[in-house]
Amino acid sequence: MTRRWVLPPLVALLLSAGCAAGPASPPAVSPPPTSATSAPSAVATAPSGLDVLFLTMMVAHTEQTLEIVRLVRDRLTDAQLRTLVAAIDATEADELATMRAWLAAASPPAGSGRHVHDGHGVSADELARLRTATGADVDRVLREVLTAHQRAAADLARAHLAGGTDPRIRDLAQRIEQSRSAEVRLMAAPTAG
Amino acid sequence: MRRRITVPLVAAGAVVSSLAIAAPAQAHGYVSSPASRQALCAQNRVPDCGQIKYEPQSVEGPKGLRNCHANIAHFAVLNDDSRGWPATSVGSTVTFTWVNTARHATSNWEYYIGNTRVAVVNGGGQQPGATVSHTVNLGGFSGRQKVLAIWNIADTANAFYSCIDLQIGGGGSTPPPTTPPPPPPTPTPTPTPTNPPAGGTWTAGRAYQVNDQVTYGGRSYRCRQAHTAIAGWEPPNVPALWSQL
Repeated sequence: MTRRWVLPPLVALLLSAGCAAGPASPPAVSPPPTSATSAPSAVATAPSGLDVLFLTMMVAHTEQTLEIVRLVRDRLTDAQLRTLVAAIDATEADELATMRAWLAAASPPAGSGRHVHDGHGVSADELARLRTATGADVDRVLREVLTAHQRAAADLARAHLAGGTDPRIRDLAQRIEQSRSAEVRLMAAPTAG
Repeated sequence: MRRRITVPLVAAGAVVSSLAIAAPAQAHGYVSSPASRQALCAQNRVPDCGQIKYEPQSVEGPKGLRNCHANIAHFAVLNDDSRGWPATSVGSTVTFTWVNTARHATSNWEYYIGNTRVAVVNGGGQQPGATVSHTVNLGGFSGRQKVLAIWNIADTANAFYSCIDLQIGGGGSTPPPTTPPPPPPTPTPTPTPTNPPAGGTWTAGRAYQVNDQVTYGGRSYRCRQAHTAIAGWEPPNVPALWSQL
């Protein structure tokens, strides 16, 4: 019971550190409408601490995916790679909105999950390489950086399948594990076009 | 289980939730499988753990400790062997998986049972992946054992600690998760960049164009964005790619 007394200073510290990053602006992608039909099911299951941790990590990871693909999507030359990257952009933007909505429901004060900036990041060096690559190098650098990034997402999702408790979030983890693994295989496939 | 949440905790709920979001920015890693004590707390499988349930990755202390809570007072529950920690049944070989919320450059990982270091894995000063798995032979041990797993960071004086309770010799080499294992990932066939027939059942590996129609789960969908179908992108799961008709 004494542990409760440790909380206030910690909370103050973390909140001030977290909020220094900027105002808690609403997510750029609006979450699915919280209509009367969808709200009750969202309340029915309470995500565990492990679920919230996974969502927080995956939100940050997915934000980086979008950053990666949007840096290069207009400069890719291979048609199939362009198509894949566009589909990754579209599907992960939806997933990001869903995950942010779940986080917001689990923890309204800081639900946007935007306070995570380190961790699995694609490095500044990799982002610089994506920015400066030209010609055929754009495709090559993108394949390299995005493959490592999506593989990490699949690894995190796989680990969550062993420990996650909320069925909706486990289902999402399952789809993340499958889709990212398949994307890695597609990026490794010889270009047929 | 939710009856356990009593009034005082409700008052703290809002701020605790904030912590759960903010914590990963400065933290780190824990053993997710077989479930470590902090993972069991964060899964609600062991109740009344306190703050650790929101930040299982934060058991950080100076290198060289030999306990489960890194001498952090409000994580002391982790070092309390009387809490009835469920032990995972394993064979003589166990694969430990760490989830790393921040990928610190690594000196090494160590695994102890009592005073015996049963394994050490060199990290080479490199950044590990988002998850790291080590397969450790525990052939010299049997029965209920407490493994102390330690992640020694290369560029700080600190380490991360996880204790894992095992029942060795009780079964297979893979710890059974509490929840049913997911179905094995569907292997994605080699993509065939040929035009799919109009209509037909959604098929992984097919390249779909805008306005192609498929059926999936008894419903019909129209393709909204060109893509090669893959497992995880089934039409009802990706509204960005398919709209239901």
